[in-house]
Amino acid sequence: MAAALELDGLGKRFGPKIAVDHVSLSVPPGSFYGLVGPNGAGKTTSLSMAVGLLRPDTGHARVFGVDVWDDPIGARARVGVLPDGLALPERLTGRELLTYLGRLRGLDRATAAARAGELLEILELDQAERTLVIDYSTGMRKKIGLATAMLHGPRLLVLDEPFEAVDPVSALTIRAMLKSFVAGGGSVVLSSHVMALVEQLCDHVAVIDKGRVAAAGPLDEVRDGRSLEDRFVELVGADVDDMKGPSWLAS
Amino acid sequence: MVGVLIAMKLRVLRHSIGGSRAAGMVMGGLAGLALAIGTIVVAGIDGDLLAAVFAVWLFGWMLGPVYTGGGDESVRPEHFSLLPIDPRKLALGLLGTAFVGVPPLVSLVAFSALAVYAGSFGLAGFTVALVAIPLMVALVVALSRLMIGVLGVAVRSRTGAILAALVNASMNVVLNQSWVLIWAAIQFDLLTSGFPPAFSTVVRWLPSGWGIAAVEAAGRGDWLVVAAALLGICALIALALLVWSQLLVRRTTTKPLHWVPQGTGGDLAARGPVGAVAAKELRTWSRDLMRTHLLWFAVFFGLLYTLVPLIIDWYGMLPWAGVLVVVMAAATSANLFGLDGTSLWLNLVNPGTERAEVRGRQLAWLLRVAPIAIVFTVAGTIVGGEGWTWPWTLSILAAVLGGGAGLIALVSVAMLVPVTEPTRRSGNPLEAGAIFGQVVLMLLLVTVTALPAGGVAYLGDALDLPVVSWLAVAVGVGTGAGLTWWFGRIAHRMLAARGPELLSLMRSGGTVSPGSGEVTAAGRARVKLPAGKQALVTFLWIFCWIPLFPQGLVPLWMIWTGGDARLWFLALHLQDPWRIPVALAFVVMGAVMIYYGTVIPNRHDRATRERQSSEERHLENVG
Repeated sequence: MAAALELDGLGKRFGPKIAVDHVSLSVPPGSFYGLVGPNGAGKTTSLSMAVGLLRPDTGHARVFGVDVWDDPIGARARVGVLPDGLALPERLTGRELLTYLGRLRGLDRATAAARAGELLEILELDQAERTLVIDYSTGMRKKIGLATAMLHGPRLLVLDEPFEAVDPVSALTIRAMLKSFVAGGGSVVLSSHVMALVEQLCDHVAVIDKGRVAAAGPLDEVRDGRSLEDRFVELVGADVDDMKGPSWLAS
Repeated sequence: MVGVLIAMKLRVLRHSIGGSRAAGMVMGGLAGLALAIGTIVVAGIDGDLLAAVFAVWLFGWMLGPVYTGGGDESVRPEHFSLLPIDPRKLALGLLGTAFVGVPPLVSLVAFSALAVYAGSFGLAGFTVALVAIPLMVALVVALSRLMIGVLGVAVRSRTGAILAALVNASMNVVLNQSWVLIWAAIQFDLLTSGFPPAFSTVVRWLPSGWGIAAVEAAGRGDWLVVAAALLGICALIALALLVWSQLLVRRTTTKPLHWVPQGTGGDLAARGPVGAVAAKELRTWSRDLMRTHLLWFAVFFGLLYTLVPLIIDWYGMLPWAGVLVVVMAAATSANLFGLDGTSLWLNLVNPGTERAEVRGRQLAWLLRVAPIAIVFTVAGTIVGGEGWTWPWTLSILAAVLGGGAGLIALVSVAMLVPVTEPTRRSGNPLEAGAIFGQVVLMLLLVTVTALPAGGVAYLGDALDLPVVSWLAVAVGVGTGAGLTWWFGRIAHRMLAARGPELLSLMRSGGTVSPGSGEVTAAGRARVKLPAGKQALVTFLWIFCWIPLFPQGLVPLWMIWTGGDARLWFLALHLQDPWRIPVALAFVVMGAVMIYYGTVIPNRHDRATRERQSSEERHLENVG
């Protein structure tokens, strides 16, 4: 069976800077896959290339065996994406946005309306019925973005920082949604900075550092008997004992 | 899919129409309709002229997006980058949404001039015209979209910002210097003898002239040419769509690489706080697209404004190119602090840096503007001036450089206009905010700072004393330096005193007026005007310039210098006791229009607030 998402030697260079250096990852179907790494490690760039939002210089990305860059239409139909800093038609309400996007995804009018209503209710965006997306808070934007990713019922979700700026109650809702999605056979790839969250949710994890894969595999293998945080610090080569504040501060 | 996209765009429009936007739409629609009706009238006159007017419509559609920095973006391709839709299909769908709105309707009216023109080519010509009209509208819209596609890839670059500045400046110069073009038309006797043959050939071979070609060929019964012209239009539409769809893919799957020019002024930063601010500012002037745009706009404006009269062999404006650049650069830089958005917090957490912040900004502005202005002035005076022009240009240049450096500091603190935060800006020059009133005020104020130097230079000419004339240069340098120092001092004291208010103003776009007796809640949004009043205010601001400058100050200047040209200056067509009073009356009329343009929104604002607060009091009493 083909991997839910496969990154095969993806590489990207911005001017002189190599952002992603031949990243290869394989996300098994039905897995909850966490992507962690320091700021600027290339997580967002890798995910963008994997879902067809940024053309890679080298390598391939496949969604359930469909090449994202050879057959973009086939691949996009199979994946739901929450990109980082997403562009949305700002002057629509949440319900209008979801309904129109559903129609564009090929859903009929009744299905699009029903799914939009259900998603708004679950994500508790239905109270903001008269608010335009432009007036949404950061957390609400995340939630509406998540709703657009799930609208067409994909078998794979690729989410860039889905919990950033989301309040604790909404975070619990989203976690429950994602867990039941995986339990039902779906696959999730998410990037995050919060180690505890990745440890609780994910069964697979990859550590990305300086554009390369530092470690990848089932959570317990990567952790190697320690906490994910300790292992992460070790992998990215930060020396915790050496960390200190500026010499002039509080002296 | 086209249907869904159109429904989506209609919904977006419905949510965004209100107040000033509705007024703008109505005004724009009416102006467009007037032009469209003009086109139909032209259709009855002459084929060559009609072809030329259609060419203007085509270029209007293609340059419009450059002017607005990317055109109508209510439904953007990025919104659909995740959907499984073929790019060509998406391009077709987005083209469909492009037909929704006022401009395509207006264009349909304009191109129906073809049916009027076909009147003299029999039934066959008329039938062909009915086919050609929608095709022509589709053609201009498709080519306009193609232009937006190109811009969508280019607009986020420095080159794009400079190009937009060039277009923007050209349009403004054409509006301001239209009298030159009218004069040129009279001189070349276009109305009686028609266009030169070469010009007619060009406008008829442009795609905008193909519809006319088809109609004329139908009249002759030359069906081969009819088919070639109509199929040619269709092929061009298809080609534009194909290229555009490729550009859409490129736009949604590549990231613009921000090219960072090597910083200038590294040595500056070593020279204390003022130098550090100046070094930061110099870098910002070249890296912030908005500032790049505004600065280059001033440069192009000054240059083109003085070059246009060369069409009628008048070199007399060239010496003033540098001064015009300075005046315009001061006007467009007067929102210096507003353009940087909330980064003002850096000064709030570092008290005592206000002086360096203001002085450094003044220094950087002078370093950016002065070299260009000096080169323009010297070169312009050599080419277009005479011996006696030197003291005039040099003294006034010095005066406005200094006055401008002082005023930009003062006005940007005292009259800050909130603007979209730099992080959220695209390359759209219209995002510079509602700085129109500020620009106008600055144009007047900077001109006033040149009065002492100009006065002395005039005295020198009148007394025929070269020593006095050259003294004017010293006066210009003196007032310039003095005003830079004095206004700068007021500015940094004011910045220190009301920094938090300025920050909350930038955050919310509200109005804060501490200490003026009518303290309003910080960060409260300005009350929206009802559509009718908004339309009136917009009208006043757009048209006040005609009585003020071309019908008022320019004729006064021409009476003063004793020129004998009359052109479209009403006052100059009158006999002597009336010439000056009429010109003055126009100036007063312009000033009154500006006054009401400012006062109506303010009064409405105050009245609404008072009503609200009295209602609140009433409620409290009831409670």
